[in-house]
Amino acid sequence: MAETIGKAGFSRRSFLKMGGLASAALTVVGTGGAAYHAGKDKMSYTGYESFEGLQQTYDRKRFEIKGAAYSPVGKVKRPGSFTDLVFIRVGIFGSKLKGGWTPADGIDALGEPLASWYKEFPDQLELDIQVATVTMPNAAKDHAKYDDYFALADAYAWGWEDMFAFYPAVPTTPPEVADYTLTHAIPGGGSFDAPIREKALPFKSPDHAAELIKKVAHRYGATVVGITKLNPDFCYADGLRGSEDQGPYEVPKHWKYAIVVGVPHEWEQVLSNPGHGTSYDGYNRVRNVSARVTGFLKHLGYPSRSHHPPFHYDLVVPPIAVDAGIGQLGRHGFVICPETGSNIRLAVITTNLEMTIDKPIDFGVNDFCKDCKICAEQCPSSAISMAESPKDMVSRGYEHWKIDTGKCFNFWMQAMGPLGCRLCLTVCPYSRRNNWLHKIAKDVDINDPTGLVNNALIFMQKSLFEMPDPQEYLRPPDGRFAGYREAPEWLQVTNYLAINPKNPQIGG
Amino acid sequence: MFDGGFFWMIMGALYVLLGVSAPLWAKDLGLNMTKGKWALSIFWYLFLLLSVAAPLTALAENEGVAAFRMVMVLGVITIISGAGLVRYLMYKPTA
Repeated sequence: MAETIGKAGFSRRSFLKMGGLASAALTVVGTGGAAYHAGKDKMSYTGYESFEGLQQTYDRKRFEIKGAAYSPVGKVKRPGSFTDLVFIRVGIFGSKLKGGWTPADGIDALGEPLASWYKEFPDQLELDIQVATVTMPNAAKDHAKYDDYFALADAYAWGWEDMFAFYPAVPTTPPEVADYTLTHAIPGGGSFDAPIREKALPFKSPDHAAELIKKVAHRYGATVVGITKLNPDFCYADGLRGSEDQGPYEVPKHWKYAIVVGVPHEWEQVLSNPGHGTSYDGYNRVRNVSARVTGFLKHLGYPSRSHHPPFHYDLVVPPIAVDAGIGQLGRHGFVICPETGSNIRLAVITTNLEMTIDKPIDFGVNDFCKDCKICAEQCPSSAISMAESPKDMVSRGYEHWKIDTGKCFNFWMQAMGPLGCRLCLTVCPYSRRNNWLHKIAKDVDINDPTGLVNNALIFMQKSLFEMPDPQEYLRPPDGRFAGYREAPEWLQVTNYLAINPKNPQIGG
Repeated sequence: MFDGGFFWMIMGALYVLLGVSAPLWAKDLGLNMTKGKWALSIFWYLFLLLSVAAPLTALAENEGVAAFRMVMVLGVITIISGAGLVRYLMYKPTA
């Protein structure tokens, strides 16, 4: 380049050279600034940035697998809603204890279905006795002492929960009636029931039906949506909502398809589990989505039923979500979804609307979970298996990762703040926000067939990121009711309330 | 400021300026650049950007400890590899 001295006293060449040097520095600064912004950016709070379906970012076609996600390896048995579902089981067991039952009376005195179930799983009886006689009395003392410290987290959680009592309405009639009935609100208060339209409005094709249902579900607030044919093996064997005797039942014929919807928990408070996190935000949002989709289907003339948190299910959600291509089952028993990791709360809508179904996917979770084990290492109750693989973990005829629900529930009841724990979904390396850093890590990992990136990411996760000792999550004096991360500033009571609570974190 | 189209337009212009000036610097410094050397230099520069960007994103996510550890690891790698790259680029075999 010719060296021509300009009016300013330096050549064009010198200008380019010095400009280039300055650019080198400025691009580093600019990249740094953009990177910092990416970490703070609320638009990376997947599921909270829009309701236009933009959050379901992964093209699942690439990861689809042939055939079913689960195949029976033994005699299939449908789960019992009064026994296998720990919350209900412990509730029933607690009422037996209150009624005067003692271990000296023998298991048979508990009556069915508890007696048979506890005979099959005697260790769970020990754990359930512990919940009722040790964990819950201790929790009552802890709440009396430390509740104020978690007051904002509690209030935030209950704010989400308060509407559970009235919306959506709990079915009071069997599916053959309730699923064909619409509840209309009366302006000014009250409601009345009316049957859905006699002849359903036909869709142009199953493709059109699936496409529309997904579009609508996203607009109702779903972060992810998937559709599958309902496998009746995953429906509870008893306790059908709205049935009179609550005993064993045949899966209703119109439950042909399952629409699975999911939303994540808010991304700041979920990191402060157990004490300052809550399940209720996810529960509230997903049950709203589920109820809205149910209403949409009924208004078109298709019978449908919403199965949603916290206890309003006639089926077990995770395997159905796996069938619908939402994600894969992790070591901790949660579904791990490509977009949100383990931070996903799910609901299911059963219907007879014929739709094109999605396929199960494999984006490498099985291999990742075999190597990672962070959830099992961090679980304060040791409820999550440290086994090398789910091989031989057979539950009701299907092989999959199993957790010890009795152990889990013992810590679940011990944790302070809003009910529950959720540490396993918090610490899962897949549960990361949607910014460039984590997206690159995930994308590179799922496209690497060698497993080297997988191992490198797990190594980095364990060596770079701080993790409390699991003992710290326990109640004092053994622990300090620690959270995985500090509570977000908007849930710290001393930032906003004129109170001086006892702080268990510092031995208060 | 950091997420608008204007910001990335400016960043793009700066990258172009950097790209135009780099051959001038190489020529004036007497570096005998080959395609391989350019590739190495670009790769190092991208690594430099990564070693700045990754800790800052982690820091903004309130993962201060992880950010510090990233700086220590990536920073050391960047400095050592940068020094090695400069020696390699400046190396002139004695005939």
